[in-house]
Amino acid sequence: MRIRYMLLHAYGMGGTIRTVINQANAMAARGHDVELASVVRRRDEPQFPVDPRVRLVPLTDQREKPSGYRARLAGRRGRTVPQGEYKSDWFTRGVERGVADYLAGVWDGVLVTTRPGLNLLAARYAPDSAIRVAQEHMNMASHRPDVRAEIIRTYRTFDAVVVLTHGDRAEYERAVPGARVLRIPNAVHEHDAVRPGPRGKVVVAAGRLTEQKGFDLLIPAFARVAAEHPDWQLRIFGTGPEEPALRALIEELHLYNHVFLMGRTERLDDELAKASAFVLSSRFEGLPMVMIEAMSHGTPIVSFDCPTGPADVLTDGVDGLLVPPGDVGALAEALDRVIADRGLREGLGAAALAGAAPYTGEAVTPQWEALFGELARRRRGTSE
Amino acid sequence: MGIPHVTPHAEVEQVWPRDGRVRIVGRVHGIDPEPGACRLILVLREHKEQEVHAEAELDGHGFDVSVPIGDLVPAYGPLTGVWDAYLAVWRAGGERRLRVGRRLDDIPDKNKVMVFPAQAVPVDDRRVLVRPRYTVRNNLSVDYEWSEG
Repeated sequence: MRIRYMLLHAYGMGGTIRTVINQANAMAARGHDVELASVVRRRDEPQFPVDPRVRLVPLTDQREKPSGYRARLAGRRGRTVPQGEYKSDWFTRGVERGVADYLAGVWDGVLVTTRPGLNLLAARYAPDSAIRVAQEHMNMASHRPDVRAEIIRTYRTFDAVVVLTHGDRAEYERAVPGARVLRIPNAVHEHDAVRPGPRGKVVVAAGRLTEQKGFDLLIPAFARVAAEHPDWQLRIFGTGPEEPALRALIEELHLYNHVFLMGRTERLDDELAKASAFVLSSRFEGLPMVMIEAMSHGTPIVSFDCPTGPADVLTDGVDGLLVPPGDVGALAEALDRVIADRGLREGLGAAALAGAAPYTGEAVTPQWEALFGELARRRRGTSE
Repeated sequence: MGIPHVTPHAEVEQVWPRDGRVRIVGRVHGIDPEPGACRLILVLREHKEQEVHAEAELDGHGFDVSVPIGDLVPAYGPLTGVWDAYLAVWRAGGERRLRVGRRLDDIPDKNKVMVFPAQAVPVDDRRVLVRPRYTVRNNLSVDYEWSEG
C-alpha cells in the first residue's frame, strides 16, 4: 500500500513530529511504500531518525532567505489556513502553493495529514481519488473559533478523522456530524526492558517551558513538598519561553536547592526510569506521551485531570493519582502521599507499566494497518 | 573492582543565598575530619592574598557555615571577581583545605542547572552583587560584581 504522511516540519523537534515519523517508520518496516512530505524545510537533517525506506520529500525549502518573487509570496498570508491556526504564520502564500502543487499529484493510496492547517489544505486540494485521513493531535476545544468553524465545514469530507483519546472522539463526533471519527493513540518511544535498581529521591516533569505545561503551578506545589521532604528534588526537563519566569519563581520561593530546570536531554528515558515519580501539571494536553513513556518505565504518575488525555490513560488510585486540574494544594498532597509511601509507589508503578501496554508500537501499528486496509477495501467496493 | 581513589572534598548539599548571608550546608567526603575547628575559607581568585574566613559547625562529616555578604566585597581588586570556596578541617594535627563542590550526584552542567540568585550589598551610592555559582568543574565559587545604583 502507498502511504503518504504530511508534516509541517519533519526536520523539527516536537511530540507530533516524533510520533508521525515513528508511524511512517513502522509502516515502512511492514513493507508499505511510505513517503513523508515536509511542508517546509528549515534544517538540513531531521531531528528524529527516519527509516531509509521512507522517502522524505521537502516541499518548500526555507533554509535560505527567499528573494524576488518567492520573497513576495513568503511575505503574504495564505488563503486557506485561518489566522487562528497556532502555526498560521508558517502558512504563507508560497507554502500553501507548495502544498497544493504536491497534493495535485496525490491521486492514489492513503494521504495522512497531521495538523489542522494541513487537514484544511488536504480537504481543499487533495484529489477525491486518494484516501484521505486527517489526524488531530489536539482536542476540539483547544482550537480557536475560526479553526473550529473550518473543521466543522470540512472534516466530514475525510475518509477518516483519527484522534488520540476516547474523549476527543466523542467531542469531534458531536462537533462534526457525519464525520467518521476513530481513536488510535500515539505509540510510545520504544526502549529496552524496565531498568532495575533503586530510584532516586527525584520527581521528574518534562515538556516545553510554556504556559500550557503548568510548571508555574507545579513549582508552588513542590514548595509544600520540599518543606515536608527536604531531601527530595523536582527536575523539570525542557526549554522554552517561560524559562526566565520559572527561574524567577524558583528564586522567589527559595527553591533553588530543590527545583531544577534541567534543560534539554537526549537521555530522557534514563531520567524517567530513575525517578521515583513523574508529575504532569498541564493545563491541557492532546495525549501526554511523556507521561505514558514514564509509565512504560514503571514510574508512578501524579497528574492534573486536565482535558484531555490523563483520564483517558490513568485510573485514579490504580496506575497513578489524578487531582482536579489547576488545584495546587491537591497536587502537593498527592505528591506528598507518593513520596511518603514506598508501597504505594511500587503498586502504582507496577500498574503503570501494565497501563502503558496499549500504547506500544506493537499494539498501535496494527490498528493503523487495519484502518488503511478497510478504507481501501471500501473504496474498491464502491468503484466496482 | 575497588573504589577509585578520590581527592577529599567538601560536598555541597544546599546553598542558601538569602537574608544577607550565603549559607552552605554539606558533608566532608573522602577524609575523616577531627572534631572541633572547621572553617570556610574564600580565596579571591584575582588576588589570592585576600581571604575571607567564617567559622563552620562540624558534626561528624556534616558541616554548616554562613558568610555575611558584606564580607564578600573585596578590599581591593577588579570590578568583577570570583571567590573560590574551601573548607578547612583538622586532620593529623594539621589543617587541610578541601575544595567545596558538588560532585557526587548525577546532574551534569551544574553551572547551568543549579543556579542561585544574586544578593546586593549597598556600598555608598553603588552596590555589589554577590552570587554563588558552580564552576565548570562543579566546584562552588561566589562571583562579585560592582554595579551602579
